[in-house]
Amino acid sequence: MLMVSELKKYYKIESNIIKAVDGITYRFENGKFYAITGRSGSGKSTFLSLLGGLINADSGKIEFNGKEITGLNDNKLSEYRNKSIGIVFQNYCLEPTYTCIENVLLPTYPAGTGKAKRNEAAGKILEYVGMSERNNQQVKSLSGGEKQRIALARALINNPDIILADEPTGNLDSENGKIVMSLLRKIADDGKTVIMVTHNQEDALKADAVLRFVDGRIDGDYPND
Amino acid sequence: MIKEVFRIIIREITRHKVRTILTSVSVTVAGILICFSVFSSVNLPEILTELNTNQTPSAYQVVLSDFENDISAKEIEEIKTQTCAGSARVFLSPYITEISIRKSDGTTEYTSAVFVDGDFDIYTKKELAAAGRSVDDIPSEASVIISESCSNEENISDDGKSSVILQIMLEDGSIVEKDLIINTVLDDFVFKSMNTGSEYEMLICVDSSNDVLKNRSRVNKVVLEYSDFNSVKCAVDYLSGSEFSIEFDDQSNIDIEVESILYNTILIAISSIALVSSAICVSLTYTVSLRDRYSFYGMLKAIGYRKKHISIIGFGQIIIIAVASALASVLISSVCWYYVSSAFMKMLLMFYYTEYALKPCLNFYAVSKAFILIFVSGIVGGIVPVLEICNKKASALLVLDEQYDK
Repeated sequence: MLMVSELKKYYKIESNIIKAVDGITYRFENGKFYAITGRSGSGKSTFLSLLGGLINADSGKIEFNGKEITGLNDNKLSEYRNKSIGIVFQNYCLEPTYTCIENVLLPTYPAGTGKAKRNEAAGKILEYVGMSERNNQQVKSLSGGEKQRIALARALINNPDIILADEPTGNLDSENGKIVMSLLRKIADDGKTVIMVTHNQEDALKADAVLRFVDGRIDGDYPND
Repeated sequence: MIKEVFRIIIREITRHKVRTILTSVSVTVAGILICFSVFSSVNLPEILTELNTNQTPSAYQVVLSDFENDISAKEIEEIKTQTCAGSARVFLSPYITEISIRKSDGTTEYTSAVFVDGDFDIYTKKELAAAGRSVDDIPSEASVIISESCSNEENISDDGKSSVILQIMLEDGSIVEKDLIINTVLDDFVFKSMNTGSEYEMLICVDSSNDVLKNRSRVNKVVLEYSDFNSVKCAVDYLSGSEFSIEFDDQSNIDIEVESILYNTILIAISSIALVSSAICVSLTYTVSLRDRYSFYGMLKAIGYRKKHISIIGFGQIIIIAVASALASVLISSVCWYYVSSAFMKMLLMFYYTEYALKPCLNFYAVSKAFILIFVSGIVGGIVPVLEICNKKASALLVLDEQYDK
């Protein structure tokens, strides 16, 4: 379970203060699929970065399974990012000169997973995302949808409890977008918490709940039927 | 983990060839400059020592020696005219082949040398110095035999002086005799000379105007004297191919020493500039290339790599590139050095006219020193950009907070 309380993140641009995240309190249940929507600049991505420990909050708390994430040192935060969450970016953030399996295996090294175990896990995950036949192909030769599936496989390789996805279909055509969305749905159905930022209303409807962000606050929490 | 991190380092180096080559070339080029500076300056202390011990009494002198055949007065005059020499001093070889001092029991105790010039006379070293002459001027082939009678104490006068008979053996075997009075008994004289080569060393001057002696002599060396470097240069050009050496007076040595120090300072300056420019080149190349790789390091941080891992990956690349570049610099420079240094020496000879002035040097010490300097400059250049990446947050590297950039 992931819980945020009175989370704040402000940015100062010249003399103006931008309230990217302004005192959000929310509780994310295990095994649910959440979609965060809102206009550009409403604080969705900043909120996701805070949840992923990529940036520090100005105030407030983030708790994961009862442990406070905010204020952790670099090593503990790295461990949290490595083992407890998986992050998927809009632009994939894959290393183009590596093969698919090399990209997928990257998070297993700091986790200290043994060679046999990590290779087995990588094989399974690539099969899970439907990319097992491309595992030795260089990422730069893949299509956008395939890249995003490799990014999903990389996010899943250490079997994290939470998947954070920042506009995962933003760079994809509708067909590939559907494939990625069905994968995210499947991941949530398999018991992981998925938190996805999206502009796409159609994608948002596939989530269990939609959080609408306005000016750094949650304007509404709408469960999808 | 170490194995995997090492693999990432190797991939970063091998799969981003442009960056690797650019960085390596910049370090190597600067490294070659460092090598050349180090190779040419490393033996300067030896050069200066050599200069200090190479003092001669006269002004710029070109000494012609080791003649295979005798050289005529006409030829000497021609050399003097052609090379604009201020003067040409001719030293004749002695006609005597051996000097020995024989003790009363018939054994030979001492062998020394004479030179052929001036009056047929005998000097102690002290007397020779008083006459303004140097022992170094004396060729080593002549010989004097002192008869055994001189060791007889009866020959010692009341004032302590000892009378000896000097026999000079000529080439045809005939002997010329001269009386000699020295200030001590012969045994003391022999003893002191053997132990110290001291002031009692005996020297003989032969009158070169003496026809008998002159006819038996041949030219040992010709000393051409010049007043400036340009004249010496003229002589060096003219005498190219002949056996000759160049000697300098004290003032000239000081001039050369000053020029050597100046040259060394220039070398140190070049070396320092090379060192700094190398570090800057590496730093700039790394900054540019690592910025290109920000998203990669940001991704690594986002998926759980620690600062420690990132720094190992960053510094690992720098160390490998620095070592490879330092090796390449040293190898290229060492190979080129033999060719460059010979041209360099010719150039120096044109200006300094001495092999001691700036003798280039290539040895293990020089190579090691150059290698370490290049390696350090490579490492120093890479520290800043790697630390920058280590300390930046994943979000900054991934430009996630671009829209709210502080």
